[in-house]
Amino acid sequence: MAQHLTERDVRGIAEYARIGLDEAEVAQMTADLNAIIDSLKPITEYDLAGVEPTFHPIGGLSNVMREDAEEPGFAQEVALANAPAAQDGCFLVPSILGEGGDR
Amino acid sequence: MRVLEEVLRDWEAVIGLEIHAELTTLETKMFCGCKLEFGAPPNTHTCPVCLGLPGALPVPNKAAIESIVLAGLATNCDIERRSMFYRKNYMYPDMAKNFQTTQGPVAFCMRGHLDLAVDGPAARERVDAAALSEGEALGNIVRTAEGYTAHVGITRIHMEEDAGKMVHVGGGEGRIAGATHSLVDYNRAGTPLIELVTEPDLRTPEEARLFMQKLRQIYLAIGISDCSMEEGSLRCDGNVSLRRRGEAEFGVKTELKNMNSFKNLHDGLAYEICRQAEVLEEGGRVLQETRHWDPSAKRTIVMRTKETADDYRLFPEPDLAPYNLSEEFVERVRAKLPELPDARAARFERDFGLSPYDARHLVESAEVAAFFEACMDEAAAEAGALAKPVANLLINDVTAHLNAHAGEALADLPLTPARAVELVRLVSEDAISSKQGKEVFAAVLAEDEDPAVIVEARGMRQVSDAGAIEAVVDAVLAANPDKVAQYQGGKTGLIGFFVGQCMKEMRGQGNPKVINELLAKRLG
Repeated sequence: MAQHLTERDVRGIAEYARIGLDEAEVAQMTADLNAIIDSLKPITEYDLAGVEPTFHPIGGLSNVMREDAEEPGFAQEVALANAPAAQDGCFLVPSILGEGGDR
Repeated sequence: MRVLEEVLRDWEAVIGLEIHAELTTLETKMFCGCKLEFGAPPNTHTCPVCLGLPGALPVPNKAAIESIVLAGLATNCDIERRSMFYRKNYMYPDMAKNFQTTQGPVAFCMRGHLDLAVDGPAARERVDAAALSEGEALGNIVRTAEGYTAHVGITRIHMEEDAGKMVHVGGGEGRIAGATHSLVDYNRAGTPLIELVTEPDLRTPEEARLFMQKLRQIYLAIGISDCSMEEGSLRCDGNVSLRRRGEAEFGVKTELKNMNSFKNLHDGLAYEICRQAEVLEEGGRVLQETRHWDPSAKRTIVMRTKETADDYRLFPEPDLAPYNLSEEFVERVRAKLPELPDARAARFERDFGLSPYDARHLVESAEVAAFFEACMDEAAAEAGALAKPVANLLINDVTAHLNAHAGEALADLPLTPARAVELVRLVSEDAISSKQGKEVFAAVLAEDEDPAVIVEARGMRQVSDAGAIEAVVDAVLAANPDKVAQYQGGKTGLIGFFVGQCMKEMRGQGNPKVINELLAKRLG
């Protein structure tokens, strides 16, 4: 099995995904992910000379748009129905240090 | 810390802006038909798409794509026919689907620019402009009679979506520090958002402020957003670094957040420039970090240090088809472009003989500009003669009143175009003095009455009739033979005394210009 990802890579991915892994899990996850990447190896053996790269999975479609018209959504209680916890009409989540995307 | 203008003599600041605008004038969100509404009860405008429920499929809002193309055309951008959406992956509860849909290397709008006219005190921050002679260019600026113009590049404007709103509880005052839980409202999640990124072409906080102001005027003119900095529908982040004057290499930059008013944008950047200069002059180095402007403490504080680049693992959004906009689509949007503020100002100069300064300030507010045009219609044949005094009334008195009374709109004031024209006509015909004009302006607002009626009721009419004034002048001179002798003996400062006596005699209604002329003639 080739070493596509190191344990360091896996720790980095786990941090981004905010998943806590212990040492044993890091080792197991690294082995699993490398095995998954290995399983894709046959694809690399095809002769792709002259084949156009695929930039998008639905490249056959374009300009799919809808009109700016309101459609019915969820009532508040429906939106919150599956939430493990709610308060004041809001989803209640554990506080997470850090911040959202760069908006 | 040294003051800005002093710092800028030794250092050149390099500033770039990232400006986000929510497309608040649309009815629905970016990728679903949920209603856009500021201030609605939490989580009352959501659906499977904006809650990121499994299997939900997004469909872009056509009006949002038209809006961003309109924004691009209004800011001299090239419209890219082919572009697509990407997923920007990050794990944070403000976005339920764990990624923000945004654009990749190619955005709908690329390579635009705005030209800024910088004059008055605002031009002083640009210390290298002062040495230029009129018409001379330096980098992206050209010296003008009143200051300079700056050509500011726009890298791109891309389409994306806003995140939900979070309130942190358990800590103090909604801050994350010490918080145990957060409340999440997804009403805002999925709001169409356009992000404009400038080239690092700005050199002073004033230029940054003017750029933001100009962009806001344009967005308001094309009607794509309410541009409320208070409610966060127009937001600005700044990147700033310093380099020694004459150096070409960029210094290390910091990113500045929370500049949610024009004043905060200017003051936040000014502080950060001075802070970086102090660090560098003491032999330290500027760290690449994100800082938060605290307007009450008047300083920036570190939010986070960026040791490694963020990895958002951007990849094409497989659920959204790519774009190949037709010529027809772009031309249909172009046909919707209204007259932009720059063009309107040029027309005011051309049609009414206004100075570039007056014209530019009139178009700063579309409401004021429209009022001015209504006044010119009202003035009809006199438009040319009354344009300048009407412009002065609007730029000075009306703007000062509106600034002092936040929340009042020009349309709510008792001042109508007809009354404004009547008022400036009374002054220009010498019926009342310009000082009385100010008094009448205040009275129009307070009493909701026509200027002529106020002038009549207060017996304010200025007396300009030479015969009537002559009689008063003669009486005053006859009553003060000693002063006349002193004046004629060389004590010419006594002219003020004579004017004062005449005015007193006429209960303040004499035309000072005529009184002065007649006194000068008599005292010869």
